[in-house]
Amino acid sequence: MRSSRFRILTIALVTLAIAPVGFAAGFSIFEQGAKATGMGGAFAATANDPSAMFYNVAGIAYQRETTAMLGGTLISFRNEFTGGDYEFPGPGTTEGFEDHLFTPPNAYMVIPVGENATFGIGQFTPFGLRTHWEDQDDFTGRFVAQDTNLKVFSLQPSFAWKTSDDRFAVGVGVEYRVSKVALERNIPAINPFTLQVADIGHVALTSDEINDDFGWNVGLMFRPSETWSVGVTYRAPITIDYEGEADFQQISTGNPQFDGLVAAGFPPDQKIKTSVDFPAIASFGIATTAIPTWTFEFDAVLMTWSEFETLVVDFENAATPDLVNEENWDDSWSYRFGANKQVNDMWQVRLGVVWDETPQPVENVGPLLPDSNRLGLSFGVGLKHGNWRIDLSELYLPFVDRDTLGQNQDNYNGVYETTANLLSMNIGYTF
Amino acid sequence: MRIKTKALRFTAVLALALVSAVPMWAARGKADFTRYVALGDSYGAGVSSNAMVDAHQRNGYVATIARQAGAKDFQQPTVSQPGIGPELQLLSIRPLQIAPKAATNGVPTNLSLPRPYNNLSIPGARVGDLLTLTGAQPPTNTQTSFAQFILRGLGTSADQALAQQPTFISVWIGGNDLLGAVLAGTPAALTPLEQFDASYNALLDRLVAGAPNAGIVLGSLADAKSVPFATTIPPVIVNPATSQPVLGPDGKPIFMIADLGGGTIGQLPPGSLVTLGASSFLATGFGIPPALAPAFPTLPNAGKPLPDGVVLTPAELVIIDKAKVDMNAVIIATGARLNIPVVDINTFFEHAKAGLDFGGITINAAFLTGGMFSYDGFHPSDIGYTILANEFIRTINAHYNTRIPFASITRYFQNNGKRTAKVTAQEDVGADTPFDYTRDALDGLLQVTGTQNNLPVTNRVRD
Repeated sequence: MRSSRFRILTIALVTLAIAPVGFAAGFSIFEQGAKATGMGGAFAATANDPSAMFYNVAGIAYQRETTAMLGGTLISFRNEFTGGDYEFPGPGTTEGFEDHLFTPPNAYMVIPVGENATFGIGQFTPFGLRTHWEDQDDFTGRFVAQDTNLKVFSLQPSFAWKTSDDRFAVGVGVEYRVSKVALERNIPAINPFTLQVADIGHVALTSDEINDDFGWNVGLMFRPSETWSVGVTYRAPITIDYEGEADFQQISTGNPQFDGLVAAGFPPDQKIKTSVDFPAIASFGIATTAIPTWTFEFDAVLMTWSEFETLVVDFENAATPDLVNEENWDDSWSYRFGANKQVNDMWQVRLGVVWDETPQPVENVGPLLPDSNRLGLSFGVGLKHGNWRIDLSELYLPFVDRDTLGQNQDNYNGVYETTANLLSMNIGYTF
Repeated sequence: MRIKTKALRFTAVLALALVSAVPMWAARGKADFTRYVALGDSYGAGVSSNAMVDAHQRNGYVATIARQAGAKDFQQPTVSQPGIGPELQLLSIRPLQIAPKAATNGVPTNLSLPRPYNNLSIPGARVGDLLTLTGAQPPTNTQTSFAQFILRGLGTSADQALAQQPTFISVWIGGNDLLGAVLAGTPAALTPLEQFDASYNALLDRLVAGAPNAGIVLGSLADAKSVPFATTIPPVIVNPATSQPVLGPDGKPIFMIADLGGGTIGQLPPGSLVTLGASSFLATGFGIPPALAPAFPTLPNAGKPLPDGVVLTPAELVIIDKAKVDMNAVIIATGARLNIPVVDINTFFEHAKAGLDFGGITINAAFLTGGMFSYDGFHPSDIGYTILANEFIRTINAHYNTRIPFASITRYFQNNGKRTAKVTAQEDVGADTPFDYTRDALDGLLQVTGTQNNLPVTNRVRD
């Protein structure tokens, strides 16, 4: 049971969390801490700062000092769509995203209890999506999607326990996930007076601020020797049901007769329902400190995106046809390699490489979400001074050009080129 | 599998090359659009809404192919507003009023071109006309009238095409040989198959002999039921107040009465088509069975049959369908014999009828609202011609290994851009009124397609 005070707090926090574009395959986001991001997200077997609550909750068992960490990521990106050799929207078409700067925040606190246990509370943004097309009223894909916005915000109380010899740790988290979703597009019709395609309406589908559900996650860490560590985690899938409003706005075509006909059959504003199936995330990591002052880690991360089969928007009014988007995604793997060098007592430097497979089948690649495989290169530094710690990282994430090969389900075909830059910073304080 | 010997490997490479090169080798000549010449009928001429007019000629499938392929100095026999037709416009939806834009025709505007036109398509032309008409014949019918300013006495279509030493030729002809029967409402208007076969082969042999290195593309013929002219009006009595079929004592719709052919008057059998040509007759009560006539006291012709020329019975449709299959077999066989690719127009129109998706927009063959056809219900709109041109481009690219870019229908987005305030005032649009595709509209279509249809003069406004 949630108290009303808890609810108000949640609303305040959600409002603070700004929706990012998906920056790992699909619409997941693995950039939830500057140290881990500097290591290319390969952190499940290292997990030695409070962001472990996202990467492997067992890791907080080894953190024996009360520590708070706050941070965020500054995401900027470039995107270009070109029409390619296809019939629609046609060769020569170029489109792009609206400029947005995204700053998904994160915050963590770990509190050790006794010798071997640690409590934690973490806030992060494991999923999110924004696909907002520039000049959305002239965008050639405006009858498919103009602006798609999925906001996610998670709050996770966590607990972990380790054996006294540090060889083994286990952690659990209960994730309270809150989400909001919005979708905008225009409605077309043939204007019989011009025999051309006219925009006759605009529909904005917006969910309530708070749509939520709970999920669980579990992490294990095993240190078979002084210098080797293995991490395994599982974050369960969560399905969030959304309720909201559809706002239909008629657009004048310039012909009063036709506008009158359109008005007579125009759908009324009404309640809507939808749901999104978020995948499970399973990570398998191995790390070594066999070379003094160095940490190397390799992770393989599986996301069960095959959960994401359809996106259905159910309109309350029976006369308004439901919106059914076939998704039929595939499970996807991400492979991450990271290195951390302890330069001296104060400084650490980091490097990472990540290969993220897209779960999105080519038919589904479209204006709502054009995903692609991506290769990320990261660089990071960490500075420790007294009780303070600052981590900075930069992740350069070019997407592999994605050609819809003439197979898009809405016959909106072309090539998407996207490049992202993610600048992350975290500040930690040990009490 | 590893290939062991050099000879074997060579054979494998050769075989692979053969397989991958088939599209290039299958089509004769090459797709070089330096001198592109088009032969055809009213579709080729870019006729839209009953008119040959520059505003639509420039968007016809021929002109669109030329533009996309970068054809040099591509010239058409352009006609000024309101076109030779003249062009129809939609005046009102309820009541539905489609009427010519003006009482008089436009005039040819490119008559002084000192060479044959690249687009030699002649409204009304049948296959045989392309080997006989020269523009020197007296203007006794549609073909000869249009030929006067398209061919200008400079020789037949085939002669003038070859005189330009064409590097690429598109030939889509036969629409009037086949669908003339739909416009005339009788299979009697079909060109006899032997004649079609002989003319078609003679035309292509002539072109191939005269331009042995030119690339060529052909188009097949569409089904009678692919045009809204034939499919919009149901063959049953509809209550104008409700737009719903009037039901008989048995609870089933009541079929219209018509001249079923040869003066036999009777109810239309299920599966009959009533063409848009019937509209002006229906408006005054034709087609309503005598038993129902007292229920329509305001309609002076209630109880009288529709003329034969505006209906197609299932028996007539069987003959027309067979002609389609046979004529398409001739086109495909000719293409195969001469290594010329054929655009599968028949399948394309089937798909168009079901609806083609373009980024959330559906274009289909519905009259007025489908986007594919113009106000005459028979000729394409600008959007329809663009999609047709893309079918030609698709076939050319596949067989000639070219990368001619598709034309985009985004050209025909009305694109009123910014969102306006919500429209709240709803006009009183009233109930559906009887469908009226005016007699003027019908006469214009019969005129522009060269269709002989001896309909009674009743309802005729213009003459």
